[in-house]
Amino acid sequence: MNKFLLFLFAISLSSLLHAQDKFFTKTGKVYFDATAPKSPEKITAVNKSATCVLDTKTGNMQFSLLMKGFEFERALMQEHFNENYAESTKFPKSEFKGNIAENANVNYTKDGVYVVKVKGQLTLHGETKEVETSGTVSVKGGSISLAATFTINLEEYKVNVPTVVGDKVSKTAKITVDCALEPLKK
Amino acid sequence: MTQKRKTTLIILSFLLLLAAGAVYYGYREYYRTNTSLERSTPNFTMAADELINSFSSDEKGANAKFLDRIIQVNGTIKSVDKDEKGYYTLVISNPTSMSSVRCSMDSLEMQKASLVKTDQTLAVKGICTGYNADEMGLGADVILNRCIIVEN
Repeated sequence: MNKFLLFLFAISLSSLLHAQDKFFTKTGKVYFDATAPKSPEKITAVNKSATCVLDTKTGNMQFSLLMKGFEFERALMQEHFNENYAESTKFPKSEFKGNIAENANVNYTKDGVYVVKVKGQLTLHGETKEVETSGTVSVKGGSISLAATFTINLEEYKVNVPTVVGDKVSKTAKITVDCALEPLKK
Repeated sequence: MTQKRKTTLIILSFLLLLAAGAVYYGYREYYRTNTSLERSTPNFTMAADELINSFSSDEKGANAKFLDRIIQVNGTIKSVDKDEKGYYTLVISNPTSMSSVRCSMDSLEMQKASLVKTDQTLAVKGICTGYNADEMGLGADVILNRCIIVEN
């Protein structure tokens, strides 16, 4: 009987230790690159305040960022991005809600780099579209990093690129996500 | 030189000057970079709690009022977050509250930010980029970007 109780105790203890399912960051990096091929100038920006939550149990993930948080090297480019393209005052936020396909293949307790497929919905400029990409989950010493690069078609999100600037601004944008997550302490 | 030629010359040189001015202005404007906020005067100065409250009670109104403006907030440092790339974010908040003002520091301000301690009272100014309502159970945040620590 005592042994059984001890067993129960051990089970409950181990479940307590493994209760850490959720990981998050509020300083995720999202890079934006809409440089047209052959364009002499780079149209790139970085957002350093993206929020990300990952539930390791289900593989569900959610990203959220403020469009005005994108920093361009040139101030004028940043103003055009916010005023003419992203219309950041009207649509201040962008969001991604998705999940890792075959989440069971990722061992979140063992250090390593796992290549995964992620599928979900991206909301940008008030439009929501399906996005699918491959990325990596890196587990190292109890923390998790997520990285992915994918391309979006700006037209699908009703972001119009005038033909006048077509040789500089691409009609597609390369989005690179780089988030280092920490365990979410309750 | 006839009177007519003189007038043409004057007009021409005037136009040339105008064109040069336009090119210069265009060039300056085109290559303008985001300048440091160090010397700029804040549009609003307030306590961190006050800023959070205005966003949580009326996000739309607060967006219209504060977005893109320089805001100086005073408050207690809840945490100093350093990320994997070495960027600092100062989190200012009432210790009892889940909500906070997150100040993403200017890249030239990292050295100073690294010296900030938790529970210290501080004033920071930055550009308001918006509000993250508490949708994921992480607390609500007002985000300030390119922040500078204000010396007393």
